[in-house]
Amino acid sequence: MSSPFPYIHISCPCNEERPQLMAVDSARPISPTKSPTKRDPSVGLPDPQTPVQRRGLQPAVSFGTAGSSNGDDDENLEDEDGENNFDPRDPRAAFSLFPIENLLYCEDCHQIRCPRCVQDEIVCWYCPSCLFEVPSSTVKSDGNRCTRNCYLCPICTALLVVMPVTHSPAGTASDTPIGPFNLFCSHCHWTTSDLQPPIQLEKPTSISAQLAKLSASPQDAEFARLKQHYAQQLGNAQEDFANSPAALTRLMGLYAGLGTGGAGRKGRGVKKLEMKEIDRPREVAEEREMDAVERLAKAGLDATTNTKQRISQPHEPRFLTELKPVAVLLRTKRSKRCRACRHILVKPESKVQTTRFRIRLVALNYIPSVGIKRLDPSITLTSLIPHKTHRFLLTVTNPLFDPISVSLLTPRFTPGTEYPSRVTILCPEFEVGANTDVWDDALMSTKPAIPAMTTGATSAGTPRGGDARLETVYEQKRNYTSVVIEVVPPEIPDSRETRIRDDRLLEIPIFVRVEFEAEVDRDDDDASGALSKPSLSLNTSAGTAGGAASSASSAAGNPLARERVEYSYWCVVGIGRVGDPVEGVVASEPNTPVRTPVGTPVKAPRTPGVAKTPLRSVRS
Amino acid sequence: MAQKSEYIQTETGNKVSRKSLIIGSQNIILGGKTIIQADCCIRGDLRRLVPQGQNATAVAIAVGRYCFLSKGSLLRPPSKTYRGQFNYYPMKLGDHVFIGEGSVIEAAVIGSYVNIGKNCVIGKFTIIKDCVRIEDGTVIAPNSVIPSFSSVEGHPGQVVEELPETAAEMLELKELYKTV
Amino acid sequence: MAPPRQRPGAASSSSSAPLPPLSIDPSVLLSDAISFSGTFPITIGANTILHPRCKLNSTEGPIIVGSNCIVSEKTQLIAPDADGLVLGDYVLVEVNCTIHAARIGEGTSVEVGAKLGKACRIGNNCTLSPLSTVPDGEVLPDYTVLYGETHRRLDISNTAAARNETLLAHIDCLKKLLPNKAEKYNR
Repeated sequence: MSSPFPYIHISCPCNEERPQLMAVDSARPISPTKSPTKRDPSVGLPDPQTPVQRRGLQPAVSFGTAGSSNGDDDENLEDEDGENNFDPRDPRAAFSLFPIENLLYCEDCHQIRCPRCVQDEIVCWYCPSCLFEVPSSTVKSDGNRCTRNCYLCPICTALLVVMPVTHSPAGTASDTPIGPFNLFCSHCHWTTSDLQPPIQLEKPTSISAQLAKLSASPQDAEFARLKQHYAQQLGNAQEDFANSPAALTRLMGLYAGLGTGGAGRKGRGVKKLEMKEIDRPREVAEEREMDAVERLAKAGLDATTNTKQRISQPHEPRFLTELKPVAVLLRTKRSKRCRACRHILVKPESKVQTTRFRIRLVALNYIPSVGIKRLDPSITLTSLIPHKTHRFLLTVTNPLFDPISVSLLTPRFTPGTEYPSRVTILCPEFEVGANTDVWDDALMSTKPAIPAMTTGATSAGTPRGGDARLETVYEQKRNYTSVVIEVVPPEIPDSRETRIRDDRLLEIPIFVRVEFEAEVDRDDDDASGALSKPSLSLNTSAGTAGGAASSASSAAGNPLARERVEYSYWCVVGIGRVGDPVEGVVASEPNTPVRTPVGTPVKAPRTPGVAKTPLRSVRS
Repeated sequence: MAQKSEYIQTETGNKVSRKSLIIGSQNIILGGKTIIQADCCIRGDLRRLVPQGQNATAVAIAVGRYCFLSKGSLLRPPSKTYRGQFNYYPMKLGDHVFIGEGSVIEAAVIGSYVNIGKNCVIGKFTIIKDCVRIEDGTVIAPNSVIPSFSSVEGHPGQVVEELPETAAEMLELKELYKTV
Repeated sequence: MAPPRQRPGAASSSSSAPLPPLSIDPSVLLSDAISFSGTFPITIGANTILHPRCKLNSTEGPIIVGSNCIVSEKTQLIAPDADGLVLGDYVLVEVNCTIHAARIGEGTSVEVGAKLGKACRIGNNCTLSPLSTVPDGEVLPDYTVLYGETHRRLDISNTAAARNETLLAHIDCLKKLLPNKAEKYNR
């Protein structure tokens, strides 16, 4: 991972789902960790109905099939063993780790969605250079490229500009420049006149049309001939090339006719197409190899193309003089859907030049995020000193409108490496205020911070001499709370031999569990009301969600119901790299007190499965 | 105290380092809450020359709100020959534009929420749309257009990545302003 | 902004440290705060423009700048040795360059942030694209284009004359825009 330290990546639960799905397929008993209500004995009587129903809403992509309710009764056996620790170095994990900025959130599945588990749908195509929209009907026929005047330099990829071939002396400034023109690269000074034969344009506009005429190669001509032949062959099937629903149906019919199920339709029959091969397939006159060798001998290696230049061209030319200007590839604006429930997560406005979104459910607005920074600015993240206790500040920021209580769990030693580092979160349980209006903050500023409800706080008075804040909540502001995390990297022998794993990379997996009470949303009886900013998708989701009606009625009976919501995920903090040992820092007991702060469960997180059932709501 | 006097604060909250070099300030508009660090150079004097008789209140450089010009960066209006006339043309920066140390900007338009890394060269008449990140050391060729939600890298710069939907949040600079 | 504060760089230092012997054509436009340092002579040809804050250092040898050149702000011209640094006519040096070369040929343009190593020799009508570097002692033939990170090619676009003309127009334009502070550098 090339991101600069420190980075924090969140593990998308889709990482866990794939093997789960396989487990279902092989008829193995489904892991009880999916039990949605088991985990928290503190909450009141669990109502298995609602959560199970919600799980049922998740389509097959996720693991939440019928088996989940059976899981409720099983005791969670595997959870306690360390195996369930999230290992950031697991090859599979790498695919699901993303910075929170890249994650979306599905309000219906109550789940993080990473770029791997959303489905993109193209809203519009546009040229990234002239920013004109290209209608979808012409995109394919134009080869996904801009057909206006946007061309890139085949040598260096900069944008080409139109320039008159002969320079008209200054002073004779006329409003209409005189041709012929060529395309000129202002970065590397390549022009279309450099080509063999040179390409010069008559007018400075409609360049694509002129270029198409001027630069057609024998290959292009032959391709056009073949295409025309087969298009004719298709005859009345011609419209299949068009993007119309009728054509689609016809095509589908074509395929259905091939299968066994198509027997019944045969009477109506899709006309069987008999294709004739073209009579005289011509081999396009490739330059003979000897010619190429001669040219190479004459011009030298400098006149040949490099790989990048070659693959960006249609016929992979070998000599620089054969490189043609490259039309700019189109870009797309895309909306994104949850793969599991098909609800739209992102929908940009269709106008090319706006950056606004009609729907934008990003994880940043739903998930308390973790940040980390050095407590001691002298720490160099790229070479952490072995055996030294490095202190960092972990900050949890709450985007929700309800206060949350957070527990952070981390393995005592970083997993997945031969040289584990010792990690201690000094105050792993604390509260974070609600994301209220900034003005509320100003008004409440006289009010003391939420009194220490943290378990770590009780030990505040005990030894440590120095800053009591280290062991309790370090800092608490409107909607974020910071606690101290101590990291003691090990000494790593100098191993320069190539290793697949980077042992010096220090990554700490942290399990973040969040609990809060939210108002039951009467519309669709889940936490999304409390979670969500108003969005268009909410209505549609309520409409389609199968279980919504029943649960909504139960909520209606209890209008001011509060429900307890729990959410959890694994994240990986890439804190830095372990450096070489420094004189004077001896391998001894870490500076951290051997005694861990009271109530600090530094055991491995017992419930990685919770990550799979991130949100459960239980009437309290 | 010595720290404090490094910046001159304007009425609209711009903080301009005393060690910066701002030439032609009458042709420069700062939108407010913009920070200009030491050794920055802004060439407001390279304004558009208009034939006599026309209104000559040309703005050479317009900078939006919450912009941050790091040490040693340079804003210079772009110039070209158009219809036989060599001239400088105005440059416009949107809001929340971060310009890294030592970068040289000769763009025509830079949108909002744009982060330009260290030692970049943004060529003449470049247009950078909203929500764009330019990585350190990028050279953007003259006349380029960088569309929204792009991350650009290389010599000459090419779009290497699409930024997520949260780009505006990631690139906003309100917090950075508070730190100075 | 004409800052009332004490002007850094050349103007102030010129009073303390003696300027190198300057031989500057009267048609040259010298901006504010140009730093001349060293002891070898510095010669600047007709119609050349020096932007504010450019630095010319003749400690190791003489510097000769041709006519119709532009040297932009924050650029340093450093003579590499006693043979000096010679810029031909029609040379455009953009901002942030460090030029330690022995020679830059006529009609060459050195773009933003280029670094020219010690005693390198650049031919005529070359283009050094932004941030390109030329190693010490390198010799670039005429019409070389340095582009990308390390690539080079020959410029066969036949635009040298056009560029020179643009440069002249550029100089004309700058003469209307920049105040001439040449008298400041007369002792």
